[in-house]
Amino acid sequence: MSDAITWHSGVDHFDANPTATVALDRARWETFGARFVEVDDGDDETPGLAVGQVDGLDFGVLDYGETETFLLLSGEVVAGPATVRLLELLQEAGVLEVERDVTDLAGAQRLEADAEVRARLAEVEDRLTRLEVESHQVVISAPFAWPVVLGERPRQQERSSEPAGQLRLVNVPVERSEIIWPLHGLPLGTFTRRRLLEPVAPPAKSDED
Amino acid sequence: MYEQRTVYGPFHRREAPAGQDTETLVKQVLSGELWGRAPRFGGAPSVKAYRFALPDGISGFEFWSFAEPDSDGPRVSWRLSKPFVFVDTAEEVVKLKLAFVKVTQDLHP
Repeated sequence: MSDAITWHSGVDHFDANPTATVALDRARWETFGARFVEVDDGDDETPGLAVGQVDGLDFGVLDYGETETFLLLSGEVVAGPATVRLLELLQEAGVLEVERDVTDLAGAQRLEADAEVRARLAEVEDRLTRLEVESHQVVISAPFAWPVVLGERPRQQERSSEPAGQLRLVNVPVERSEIIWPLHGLPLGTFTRRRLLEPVAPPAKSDED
Repeated sequence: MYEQRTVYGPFHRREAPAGQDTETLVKQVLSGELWGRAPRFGGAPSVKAYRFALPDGISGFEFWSFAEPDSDGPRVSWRLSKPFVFVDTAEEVVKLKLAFVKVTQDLHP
């Protein structure tokens, strides 16, 4: 029996509505002190009703003799904060043993708020991504000011051994530059290539010519 | 062009002397509606039904609803106003629009 729940005895009327279904049968509730009274549901059935209070919150348990029982709460909103609070209180009292988030059990009220936050986060992330892409594009324009050793004959350079994820310049012929940079959002080490067709300044004439 | 409508179910109601008798069933079939009153022990009017198909050997009817039930579990209910769920405050009933798919309850009194 849990001291956290106070059960009212002999209550056969409770102005409340089903707010959650829990996989607890009548016997389980009775181990926590629930006292059921047979009531008329107006639909040819006489379920058992137990009314209790936990942390100042009145709630009911409706039993139709099945493996599930129904939690009753006063108020209009079915899946509201009161349901979440009730489930959390019953969890703390040791009545409910749930591994799932109680907001899932209670419905989507808090999830809707979460979805709104998630949507805003996604929007911010999207804007950040675009900003980052823009900053990359700025960097891409840098090859023209890059120290590409102008004045020497074009030569094939080995790929840089710089750490993955850094902007690097490889295989730079005189007439064009080719850069490799990490693609945003992919694991480091995954690269994409872009070829810049604008000409770089021609090599300086050597003394041998 | 056909109208598309989402349905939920299957659900069923079982024959009962007071709430689900022959006269009630005829009204339900003719109107395409299932009505529900408030429980006698308290609470708001709601349409109540069992989840899943009508079991073999049970007298009653099976249906799909045009609105999702408000509650989860083996017994479902529709209480809140939404499309295809009309809360009639004058009659103090909730009316649910539904599609009958199977009737095993006798329609003749």
